[in-house]
Amino acid sequence: MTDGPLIVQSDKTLLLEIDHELSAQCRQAIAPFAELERAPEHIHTYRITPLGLWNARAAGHDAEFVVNALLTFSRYPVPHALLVDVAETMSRYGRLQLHMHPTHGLVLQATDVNVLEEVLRSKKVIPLVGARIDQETVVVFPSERGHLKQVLLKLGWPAEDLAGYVDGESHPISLSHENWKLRPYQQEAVDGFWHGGSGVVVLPCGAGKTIVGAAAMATASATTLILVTNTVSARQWKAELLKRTSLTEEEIGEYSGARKEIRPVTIATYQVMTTRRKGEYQHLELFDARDWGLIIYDEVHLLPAPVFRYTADIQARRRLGLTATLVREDGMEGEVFSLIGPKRYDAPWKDIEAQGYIAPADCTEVRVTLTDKERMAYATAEPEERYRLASTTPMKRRVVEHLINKHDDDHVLVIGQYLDQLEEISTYLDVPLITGATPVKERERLFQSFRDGDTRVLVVSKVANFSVDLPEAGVAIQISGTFGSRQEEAQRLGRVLRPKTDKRTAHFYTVVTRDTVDADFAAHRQRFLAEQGYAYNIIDADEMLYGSAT
Amino acid sequence: MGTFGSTKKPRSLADDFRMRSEQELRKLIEQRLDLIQPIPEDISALAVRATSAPSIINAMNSLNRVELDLCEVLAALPDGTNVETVHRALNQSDGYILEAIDEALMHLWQLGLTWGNQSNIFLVRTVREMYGQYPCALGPSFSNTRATVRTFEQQPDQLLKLLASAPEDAVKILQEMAWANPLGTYPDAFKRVTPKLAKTATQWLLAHELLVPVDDNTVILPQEIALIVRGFQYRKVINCTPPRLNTIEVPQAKCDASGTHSILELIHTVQNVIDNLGRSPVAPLRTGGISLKDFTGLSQKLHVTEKLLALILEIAASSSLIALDDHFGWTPTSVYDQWIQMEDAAKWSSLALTWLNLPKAPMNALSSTSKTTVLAQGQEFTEVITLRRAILSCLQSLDPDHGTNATTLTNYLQWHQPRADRQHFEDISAILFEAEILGIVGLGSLTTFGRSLTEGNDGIEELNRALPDFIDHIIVQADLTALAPGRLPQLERNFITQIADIESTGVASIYRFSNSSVLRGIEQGLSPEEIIERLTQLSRTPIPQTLTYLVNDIARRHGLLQIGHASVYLRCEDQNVISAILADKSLTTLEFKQIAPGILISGHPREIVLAHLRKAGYSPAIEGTEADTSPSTPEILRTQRVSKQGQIPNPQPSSKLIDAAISTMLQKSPDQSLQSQPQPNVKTKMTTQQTLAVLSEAVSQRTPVWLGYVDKNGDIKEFTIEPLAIENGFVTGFNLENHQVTTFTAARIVSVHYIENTQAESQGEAS
Repeated sequence: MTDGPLIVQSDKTLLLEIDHELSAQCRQAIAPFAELERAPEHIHTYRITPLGLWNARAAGHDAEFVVNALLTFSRYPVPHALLVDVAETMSRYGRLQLHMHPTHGLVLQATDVNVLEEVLRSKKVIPLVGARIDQETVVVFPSERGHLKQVLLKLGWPAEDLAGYVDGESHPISLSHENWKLRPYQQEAVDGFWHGGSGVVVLPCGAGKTIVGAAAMATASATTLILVTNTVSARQWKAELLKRTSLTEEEIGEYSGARKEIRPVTIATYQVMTTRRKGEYQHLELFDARDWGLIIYDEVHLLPAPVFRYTADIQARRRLGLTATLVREDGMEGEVFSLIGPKRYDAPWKDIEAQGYIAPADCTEVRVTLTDKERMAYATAEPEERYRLASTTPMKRRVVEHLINKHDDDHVLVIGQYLDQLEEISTYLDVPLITGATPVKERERLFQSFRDGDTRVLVVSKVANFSVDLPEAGVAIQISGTFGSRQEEAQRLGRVLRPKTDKRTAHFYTVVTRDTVDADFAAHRQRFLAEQGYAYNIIDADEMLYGSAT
Repeated sequence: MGTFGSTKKPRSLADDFRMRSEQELRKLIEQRLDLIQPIPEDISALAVRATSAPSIINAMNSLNRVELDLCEVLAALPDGTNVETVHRALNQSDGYILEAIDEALMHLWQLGLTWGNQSNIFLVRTVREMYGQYPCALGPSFSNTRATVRTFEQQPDQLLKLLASAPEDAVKILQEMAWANPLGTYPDAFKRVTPKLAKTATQWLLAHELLVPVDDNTVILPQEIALIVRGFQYRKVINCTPPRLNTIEVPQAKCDASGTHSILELIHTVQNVIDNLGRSPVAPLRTGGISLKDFTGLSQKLHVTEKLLALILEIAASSSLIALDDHFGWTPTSVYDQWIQMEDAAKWSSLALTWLNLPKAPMNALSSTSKTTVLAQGQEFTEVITLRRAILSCLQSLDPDHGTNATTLTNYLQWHQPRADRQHFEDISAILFEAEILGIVGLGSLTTFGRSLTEGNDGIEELNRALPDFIDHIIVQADLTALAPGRLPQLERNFITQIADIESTGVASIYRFSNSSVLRGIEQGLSPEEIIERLTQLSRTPIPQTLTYLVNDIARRHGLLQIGHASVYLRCEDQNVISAILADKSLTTLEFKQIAPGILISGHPREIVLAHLRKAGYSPAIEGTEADTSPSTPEILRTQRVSKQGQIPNPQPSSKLIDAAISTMLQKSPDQSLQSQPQPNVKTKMTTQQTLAVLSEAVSQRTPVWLGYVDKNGDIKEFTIEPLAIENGFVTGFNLENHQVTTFTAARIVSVHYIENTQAESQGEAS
């Protein structure tokens, strides 16, 4: 038994003790092959998955590297079966490779004929491949490159994609370093992506994902299609690109419900891409509208299914996914992996916070108690009405008011799910409200006014969850959430994580109703943040309201 | 190499057995234990049993490659053959080793598959019959009926000379038939042809009487001819050398480390699985097994692989940690409650010992196509126990610091047990894997504690030395998990598992606190203060506020609704009457409690309450509908039944039993000095527990006892026995009066006491 920082469990979880002196070294050693699952304050949990091991193989590490890392840092003897399994799993990657053959085009080549025989017998593979050239090689229909990779992954024989990418139509793009610089981790993220070819960069909200996108575009110097969640976010991307790169207004087009411009850099919304007319996704053709050299998927965890399907067909183009979390509420993490690409860069939130690039945050859960009358209403309500009843209790309004007053020198966002509740609060506090129904122009005006400091408090619905850059927001108060959505909680916290000019701590409040489903859902959402190292403090609303009054 | 058999030629197998020394009989029985189950009355009965087909098959299954091949050669040779003839029949075969053949002959005689002596070897008829008509692919002898065959037999050179001039095809046919199959198909086999007229090779052979027609379409090669063609060899190859057991170097420390890791994980998982059954038992199918749906459900719920789950369930059932309850299904037993209190090493030892005698291969059961159901009855097969022991003894025989793998073991064991079927060998890798999970084997080599176990000890001491030290703290984190970064002492572990669910096990464990897990702890009587206090003591880090809130919230909600037990209630609108009843001294025995104005409850039965009230002068009216207030607290279930499932008699009867069996058969007492009758001193009736306690002591000390025993007719009989074993409610003992091994039902023994004094006295008199 040594005194290493790592405990290797036979269920393939790795437990890393953070306070250990070797923990940083150990983290570096295991990061290439183990996925960080949870990062609470003392012990971080990593998991060794086949995907992770194959990622490591793709990055040029072999089984010996993995085994060595485990043996070096492990506190207890490493289970033998796990080591055997690691070696076995890693040896599966790369036995099949996708190549560009000079005469036959895209081919699947095997270093192990038996493996090729095995996969060619699969019913799912047969329609994707063409003629057998020799023992080791079979022709692959270029259009099926993505599908084949998906199928092979499911069969447990992931193919190494060495077929390369088309350069696309080149278009000069460079970063304009005017009083800003690419942060080291952003540079690492871009490098990680570029060397990998395609893949996903995971960075917390506020860590500058847009800049990573811009830097990737500059590296590619090619026409780029950017897919974002909504129009507001599209405009922000545009503004950011104009500010950070050599691109001009004329070079950037917007492809949304309102405008359909196709320019060297085109920003499209998921919504327009998935609009159907007569049962057809007409706008998916945008993917073929130009010879794109790079496709950027913003908030990749929200990527809708039709876009996924189409993405399978464009495997020859470089793809960059950006997200704060790979957690998908629909469990389609595997699809992101096989179609966009593996995770190329990931940094724990707390690390970036420690480096001072995102504001430290203080998370508080305020618990309100229903009045007896409300409790009776709640107890007798239909199950589907209960969440609404619990999360819209008028008591929350008083808590919000109190909190706004408490942080009277800060910018406050009040975020909620139920429109009537938001309207009520907005009217009561006499502050502007932004919902899905608010016209884009009006939205932008309000956001701008918030940024400028003219508006101190904004009440927003879930439209503001994503990609709205509001650097000055220092306080967020969540009064109701989308049930137990974990990624939403992360996004909302992200609203307040932009570094503040005066380095002040951000505050994230979530107001929940005690002893109701509201509290249960809140607990589920918070688990994700606790795993990221954001511990919640709980305070009682009564204590806060009356305790502080006296 | 010693010789076998007595100098005098025995007349039969029974005769041979009678001539054997006690030592030789002991060897026979040790290797063929089925011969004394039950114990035969005398040697003749023993011989009869030794020639019965099932017993012969069992014995032959234990033969190795060379012994089995030798059996076939003996079947091809006539009865009454001798050692020299056997050697002559094989000395040109590939792989022939003189000593190995001698040893094999000796062993066959020891096993009672042959009888006689060096110069008169008889193969037991049942064995001979098993090889059919043509053992060693040799046809029948024709020297008595055919002159030509006789001539060739006497002058083999003549045949060789003839063959030198024979057509090439004829020689080919002859060679083929001589080694592969003495029978051939040929139309018009009876048609006579002279050598001159022979057109085909077969006709040539028939004309020279080298083949004999059997019927119209069949010809046969006489044994004598075949042997000349074969060069008088009965086999082409006789595989006398066992395959090498290839080994890999495994330092003992590494192997032990791997073993302890598996053991700690296993113990955690077993506890997790059984605790879960205690909360939600699994309903059985008609066979007692668990339906595939329930099984996979359980596997997913507990994050335990199906194979591991199958192994755990089978071991748990076999060691009575769980049993089939008529009402609930598969439920933990009170044995489990004892097990859970044991230290880790003892826990492991009991599981591992059960596994050694488990008549199933749970891990292979799932992978095979037979679709066996986990925990189903009637799927036991004792061969797996033999195989398991064979594997472990192979590993035992390896050099220290060396291990091996399943492929090598399979090759090796196939030589040692060639008659076992293929399925059997598929079990080898499963068994080896199971042994790794149980920590008996680590990295393909026996662990120190595993070795101790296979040597018949409990391995506890060795394991305790190898287990990592206890840790004294846990780390509680804000995401409501707790990490025990090593091995927690039993008490602390039980506490944590009471209030948290296991998420990951190994040397370290991760526990998750959830609403349901904390509620479980509170329902089991822990107070929120106690939980927090004990966690604070145990945790190296401060307890996060979220956890404190979780515990308090659940405790608060838990007490909101209170439930109690009352069998009767009294309802009266007149509070005065209520007060009067409460004040009435004659009714205090009923323990009335007022739970609301005008309502009294009592836990006593309705009839009694009614009687008392009437006696006190009240006349209560019985209300029409009675509220059924039987409480349903979420309890941890335990079944009283301890199932017999999977329990099989110990395949290794004690040496005492064998001694006794031999004595019985030879009509000889193990201790001649014990002839004197003990005083029939009928003592007062003892309980079964008391009698069993005395008897177990007597078994261990091998002391004769006196028994008072109620027979079938209810009469008390007296016996003086030397108890040999106590199993499943039966006491087996050697009856010192009639020198028989007798079995007694434990429950019928009314009295038992030692007769040491008498023995001492009689011995004193004798000397």
